[in-house]
Amino acid sequence: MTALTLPRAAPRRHTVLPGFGLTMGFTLFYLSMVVLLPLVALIVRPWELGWDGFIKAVSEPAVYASLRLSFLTALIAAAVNAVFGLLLAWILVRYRFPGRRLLDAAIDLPFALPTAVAGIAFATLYSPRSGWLGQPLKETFDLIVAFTPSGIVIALVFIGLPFVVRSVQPVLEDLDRDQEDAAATLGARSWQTFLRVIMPALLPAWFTGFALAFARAVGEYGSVIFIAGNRPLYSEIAPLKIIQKLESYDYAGASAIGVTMLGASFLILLAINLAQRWVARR
Amino acid sequence: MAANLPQPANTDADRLMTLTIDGITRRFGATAALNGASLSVPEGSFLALLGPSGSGKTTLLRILGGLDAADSGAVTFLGEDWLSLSPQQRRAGFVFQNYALFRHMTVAKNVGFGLSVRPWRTRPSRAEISRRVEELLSLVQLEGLGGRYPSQLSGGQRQRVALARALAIEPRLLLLDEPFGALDAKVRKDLRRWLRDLHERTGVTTIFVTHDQEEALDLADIVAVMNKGRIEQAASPRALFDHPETSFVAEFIGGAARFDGEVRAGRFAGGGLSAPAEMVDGPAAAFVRPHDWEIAEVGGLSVRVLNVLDAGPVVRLDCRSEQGLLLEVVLAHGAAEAIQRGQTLHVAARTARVFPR
Amino acid sequence: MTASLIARAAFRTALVLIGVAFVTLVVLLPLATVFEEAFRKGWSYFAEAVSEPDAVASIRLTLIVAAIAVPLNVIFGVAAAWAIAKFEFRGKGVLIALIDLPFSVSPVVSGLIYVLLYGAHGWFGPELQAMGVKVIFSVVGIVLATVFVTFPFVARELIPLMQEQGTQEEEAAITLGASGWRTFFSVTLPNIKWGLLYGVLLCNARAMGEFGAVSVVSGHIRGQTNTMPLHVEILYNDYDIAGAFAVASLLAGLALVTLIAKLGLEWRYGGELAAARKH
Repeated sequence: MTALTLPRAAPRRHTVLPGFGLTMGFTLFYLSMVVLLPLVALIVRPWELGWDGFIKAVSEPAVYASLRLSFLTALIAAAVNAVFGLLLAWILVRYRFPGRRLLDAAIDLPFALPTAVAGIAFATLYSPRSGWLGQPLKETFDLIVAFTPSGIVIALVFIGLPFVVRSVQPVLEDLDRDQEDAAATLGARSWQTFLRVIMPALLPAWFTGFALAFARAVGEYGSVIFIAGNRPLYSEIAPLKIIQKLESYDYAGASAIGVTMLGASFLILLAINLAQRWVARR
Repeated sequence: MAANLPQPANTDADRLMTLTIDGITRRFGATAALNGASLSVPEGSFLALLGPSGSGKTTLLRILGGLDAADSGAVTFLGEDWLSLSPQQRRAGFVFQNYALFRHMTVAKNVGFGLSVRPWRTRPSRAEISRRVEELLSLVQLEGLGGRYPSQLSGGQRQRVALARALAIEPRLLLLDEPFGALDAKVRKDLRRWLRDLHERTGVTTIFVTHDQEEALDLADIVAVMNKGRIEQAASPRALFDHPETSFVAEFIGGAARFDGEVRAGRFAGGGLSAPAEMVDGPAAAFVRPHDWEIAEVGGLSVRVLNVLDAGPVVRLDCRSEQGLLLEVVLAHGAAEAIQRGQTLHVAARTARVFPR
Repeated sequence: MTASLIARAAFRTALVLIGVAFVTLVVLLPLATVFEEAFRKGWSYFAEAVSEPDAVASIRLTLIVAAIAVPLNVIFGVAAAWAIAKFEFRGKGVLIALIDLPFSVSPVVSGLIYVLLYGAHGWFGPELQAMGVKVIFSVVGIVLATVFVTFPFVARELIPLMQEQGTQEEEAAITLGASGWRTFFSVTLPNIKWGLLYGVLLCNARAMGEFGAVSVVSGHIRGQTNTMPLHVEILYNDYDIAGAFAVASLLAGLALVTLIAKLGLEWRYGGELAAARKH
């Protein structure tokens, strides 16, 4: 980690403001104690198993299935949020309708509502026996959401909703309307204007929102655990596997899963970042 | 006022009374913002730092105010090693280009800030502070606006609040960064006069940065022309105009046209221009100001008239020489009758300033 | 012409209806469920559920944890924002990315890392145990995990705000003779106070509601190391659904208060906060 070389005030522009040493020193100390040291422990720990042990720990069927489930459901939820988040950002910025402010405020609720609260609420809401939504779904369509992967997706959609909306919204607000008017005077239809003038400007922010929603969803625990049902090989998410390993004092196995999650998230985010740059350059 | 060329300080008494800047350098990474800037002016001067953008004038001002540190060099002012003082100890009133008013404080609080942050032993009483604030507000003609917030003021009013705030600490040196940069033409002219009067009344050594030579020449007793981190020449506006010491000053002041050529046997020749030159033979550049042209009876420089601006007491002609050089020619109204666009003229330089290249 | 106008209006209405329906389904219905279930067995059951000793202990612990974690992260956030926004230095981008890191780490992993350090089989666990210091399965561990999870909030809110405001006002204060601390308290702090308050609100809401990370390090000892979210879990798993939702509704109330305060701040000081939002 080259980042750990001490930052020095660069010679670009001197400032007489005091306190750089004090605040930077405290920032680095606190950052190291709270974030870096623990993460180093996480990254180092699984290798006491050796490479083979590491592979074995994460390819154990129940662990592999849980990792697959966490990433798949997170991708689906992020995709759902990408679509509806874009729609919500659009109507919030472009349309005026009664209750708009309320709708805008409601978007932030998943940021503020504790995940465990959301978790038990979803489990209750979709319970096939008594839930407001679960019971009619079961009786009318014979659909069961709770305790299945689809229940996990619903909880993850909730968790990720604000990210896409809040990424796209400010960009849409700043968008120059003259460009759209210009496109219209040049004979473009609304959908052409949207696809060829508006969307290209929104794409980077949209990707960012998708990436954030995805990253948040992969590791989510509290809102998922109550609705998932936690059946091995079927609806057990990776964070739960970590807890199970910890409970049997398998620290190395737990951190192997943790490192795999971090690594895979990092690679996916990197890929999205590269795609975003590629889009921005075009 | 000392409107002559500044004399180097010879005696201790002189040094006490002088602001001396000696070989200041300041590098930002690979680029040198200041490269040995030196200058000395009497106390009480009204000094303009004039130069194109990137010439280092704002950096020099920030160093004098203690907002930036020099890599090497020295500044002596009022008998003190100025650079060793902290910004707080210097008591240099600094007026920022965008004023940097405290947006969450009223005008009165802004102006009184410097007094209210003094250590309690030297801090004036609250009543005294508000009396002084009133005084300063009336000095800058903002009586009754003490309760407003900066966002409720016009640009010119903000400028004057910034000045009052800087004056409140009874500055030993007043520093202004592009003081009129953000104002419209009319307000700018009014404020200039007003600032000149203020300086006359307070007598505080004042330094301001500008890229507008009309402003510098109009306002300052001494203008220091800066280029590439150095002070090319510091002199009264008249002396700067009549006796430029370097080719940069000759070209920069008064919008002169530049001819590259050679001096041989006391005569410059180049770019179609021929002029007497008192210097040793070698490559040289000659500079001719727009007002220094006249219609040539015989010979002279052959130019094509691209545009005629006939308004006011003089006629301005945009011309291009046969060698492709663009130059401005200003002629008295009588001398320029019937000159048409597209016509070819022959002009001769009344005065050409020649410098070695 | 009119036909196309009608079609447009219909299209808009349809979009709005889809959006409202989606938010209702995903956000509002769960919220309504919380309050409905909390009061299903009536007021007296609710009052009993939130005032029984274990619930009270969990509320107290949650308040204590937030009262330690939030001020720590406020001090850190202000210091980090000062260093990052007011000075130029190499590696600034990396530093900001590191500050953001806890946002993208799974809550469970956030708890795990402290177990790896201070747990019975952790790096420093045995030594600490020998000294009689217990971190994991104690309040210390809960505070540590909460600090990690809420680490970026204040800094994240302040950095863009302070960058936007620049350094000129501070420089002006210094040329007028103010000391460094005086400059901070008289000039910088008043300019960032609403952004700071906003960051504190978000940080506090997260600190009180954190579940995953705290769950890993707490040990779930009733009446001792159970925060409110953990207490909710225990009651729910014991099939005391109404009791679980009663405590949950307190947390949901906190979330609503946070949101309303946030709306109020945005409404009143929109300009300042808008700068912070555009990161």
